[in-house]
Amino acid sequence: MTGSYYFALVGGSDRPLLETEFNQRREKEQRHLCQLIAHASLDLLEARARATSQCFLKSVDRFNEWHISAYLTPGGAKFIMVHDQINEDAVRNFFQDVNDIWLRLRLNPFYNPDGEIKNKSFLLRVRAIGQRYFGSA
Amino acid sequence: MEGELLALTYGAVVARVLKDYERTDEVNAQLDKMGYNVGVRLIDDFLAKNRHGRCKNMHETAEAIQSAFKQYINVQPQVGKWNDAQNSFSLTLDTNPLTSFVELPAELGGLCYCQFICGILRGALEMIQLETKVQIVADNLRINLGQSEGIVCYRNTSFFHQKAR
Repeated sequence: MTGSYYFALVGGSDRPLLETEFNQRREKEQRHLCQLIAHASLDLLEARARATSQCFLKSVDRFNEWHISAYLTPGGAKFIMVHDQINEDAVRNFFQDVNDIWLRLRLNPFYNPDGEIKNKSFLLRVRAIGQRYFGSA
Repeated sequence: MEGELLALTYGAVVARVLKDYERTDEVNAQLDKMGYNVGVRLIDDFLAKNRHGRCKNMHETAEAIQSAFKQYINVQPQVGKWNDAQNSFSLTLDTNPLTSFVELPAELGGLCYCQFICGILRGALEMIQLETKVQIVADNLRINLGQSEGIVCYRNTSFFHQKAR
């Protein structure tokens, strides 16, 4: 049974720049809950980041049945994944692929750093990467 | 390594000009003007480094432009699409180092990102008595214009050149 995954890309000022879900099978309420969980875990994320020099922070928090994994880019952006099934390899690969396209987006002169991501091709690529690692959306 | 710095610097310049002028046609005009200023200075440097002598016809001019591209941005364009009067041709760049990281957002569909290069060509050629019109014919940053990279169309109208023939 494939789990459901909620991905949030949080910028420097703790603003969510991108939110998307994969395999979301329950109601819409879940999205608000996931957003709350993700942001509540930011403090723990930062504490864990200070303790390690790795980018991939693995699991930083737990909330009932939800696990929160995180990845901190060297530039300061945070990738947060709220998921209900432990799948460390897929999450790590997903984060690394998203990091690659995130770097390209940052180099684009028409993208404001810490601005909302309106770039459609970036959104499509994130969804494609998610579908590759987490099964069909 | 320097290719990345050039691309990022040019991108920052375009973003700045865009913020100042906002409308894409004015931005294109500004980029062309900036390129023109660079071109009128660059031609002296190019002629000093390449003791080419006078070009007898447009074909030799096109070859000189090709070697200039190779020298300055390390990319050799293809020359093609000559017209019947042999005074207009197009240059195709397979890879454009200026657009390495660029994706044009939808609202900037009218922006000619490489107008700077057109301005450089126009300025440089004007200094050697060749009045030309240089424009981008196809640009793969703008999806609706097809896949070929920055092409310029080139027309000679100067009296001096015709007399030399």
